[in-house]
Amino acid sequence: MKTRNHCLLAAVSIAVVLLSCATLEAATQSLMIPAASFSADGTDQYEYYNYGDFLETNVTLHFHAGVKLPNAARITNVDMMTLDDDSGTITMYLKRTKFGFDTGHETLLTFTSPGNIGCTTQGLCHDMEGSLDIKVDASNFNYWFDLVVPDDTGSGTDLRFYAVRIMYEVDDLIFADTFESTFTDMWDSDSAAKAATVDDGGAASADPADGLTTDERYEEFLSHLYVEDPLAHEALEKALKGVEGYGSPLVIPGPAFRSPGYTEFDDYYFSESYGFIYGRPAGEDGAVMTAGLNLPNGAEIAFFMAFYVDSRRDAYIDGNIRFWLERMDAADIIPTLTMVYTQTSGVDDDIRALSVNQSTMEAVEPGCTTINNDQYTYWLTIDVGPYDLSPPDPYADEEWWHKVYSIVILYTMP
Amino acid sequence: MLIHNIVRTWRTIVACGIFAAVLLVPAAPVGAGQDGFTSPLIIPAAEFEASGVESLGTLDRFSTTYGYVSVVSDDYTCLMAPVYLPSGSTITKFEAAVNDLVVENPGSPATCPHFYPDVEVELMSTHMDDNIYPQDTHVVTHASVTSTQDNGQTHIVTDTTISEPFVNNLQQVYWVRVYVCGQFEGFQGVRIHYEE
Repeated sequence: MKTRNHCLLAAVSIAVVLLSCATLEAATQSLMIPAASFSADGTDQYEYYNYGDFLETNVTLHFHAGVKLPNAARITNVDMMTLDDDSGTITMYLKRTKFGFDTGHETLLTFTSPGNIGCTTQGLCHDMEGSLDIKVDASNFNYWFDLVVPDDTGSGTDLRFYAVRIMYEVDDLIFADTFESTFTDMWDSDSAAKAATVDDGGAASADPADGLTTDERYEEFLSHLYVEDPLAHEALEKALKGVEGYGSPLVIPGPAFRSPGYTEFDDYYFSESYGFIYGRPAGEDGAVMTAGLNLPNGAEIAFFMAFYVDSRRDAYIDGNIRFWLERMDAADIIPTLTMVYTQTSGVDDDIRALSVNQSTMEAVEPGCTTINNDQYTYWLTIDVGPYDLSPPDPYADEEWWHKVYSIVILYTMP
Repeated sequence: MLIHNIVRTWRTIVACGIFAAVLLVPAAPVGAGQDGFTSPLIIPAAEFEASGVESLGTLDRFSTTYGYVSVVSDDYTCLMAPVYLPSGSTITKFEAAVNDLVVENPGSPATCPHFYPDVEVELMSTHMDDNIYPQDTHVVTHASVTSTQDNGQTHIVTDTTISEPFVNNLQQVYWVRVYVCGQFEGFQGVRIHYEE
């Protein structure tokens, strides 16, 4: 009996120590999902508009957005942010379905905007579910938000959905993390390339497929790029080669962007073969689209870059593609901060990269390049002009295109 | 006596080890990835947007009950979503959860007017350098699956023969392309396994 008691005590002690080690390192992270990340159901696309920072409708509509969290994260707090001085209410559900099963959904949480309260002078309305302990099983379940936004019923009243913020804990002793968190080791460039460098004593090994070393392949890639700013070119090289402190670039593909709805709901195309975004034919509108931006808390944006093709002659209107990076304070919705506004220039059939550096963004507002997901939502907007396969003389043998392949954010971690 | 003590001590150590192991089992987090860290990555249907090319964004229907996308009667759509994977990781398996009640019969245009009698799901990437022509050389289909059952049941289809599995962000952008045909096909999401 005595032995058993000692054994139990020892085992409990060991377990407590090990569990403590595991949980002491748990870190609270935040994931802010702005309106820009939500898609509407296919119905009544004319009846809503998604501005990126908020969305609103003229009829009752469902919107949805996926939730990507690290496996085994624990959701501790979820906050829906709206503007509501109308008798109607916005409702949002956090749901999940089991991957590959027909069993329907589980509703994990329900949120409701206050109705008639206002909040326009106090900032956003918050419906917060706190003290939660929802364990994320990202291996076996789809997680998503189902958002129901009705028309505002009264004259001069508003019903707007802005964002939802998820606070969660991850156990960094057991798990690496995804791009939302501060644990960026896994995103820290080409680890295999670094391993190869270590293995052969400093000289990157050659790939038998083409005989090039990894560094040589990067250099070849960089030599192909039209990056005007030499500092941006240098930063790209550092990110590619895994220079310490340079996080992996966050590459946001065309399909991350969402239709804004209303009369512009069908102004865009994704190339089904190549993944880039392009607009409508000549004479029609360009494609205005938005995408949420999720970077690690505390990251500093070093460069905003866009990879694009612009072969339309500037002499003709709609000649440029325009890009915005914006931020909204969840506590004070007006005004939003435009951290980046830039556009393409010149004409070329090849893919080019434009860049905006950190100092340009810091000139807008000092400190704005430091990501704070607890307080701000971040989103991107693009305006991609039409294409023209039959330009006027003397360019009749040309094809004029506007294409956006990706937005790339180069960031560093402190 | 000495031997007896050694045996007893050894038994105690073993027993303690078993006790400790039993106590520590619950510490393994629910849903821990089987192949390392956050892998696998699930991208739910809610992350997908219509391509605009074929459906003009008006034909897809997102089921708030089942969390999958289908289309209105007798039509088809192409859906796309971004893929974010860690640089330097290696994709090992690609899965899609699909639902299909359309028998493969290309001669039945009333049911399926396009060329996709099955749900088709592909993991793609596009190279981002200036050698754009011919464009085909700059797009990689890493994995491809199609629905295999026509019984209306959601099922998982898998591809483990991954082409160019090494993830190289910046040089390539990654995305998933889905074709869904008719109101009796549905798409619930993809699951991507990778090793870091």
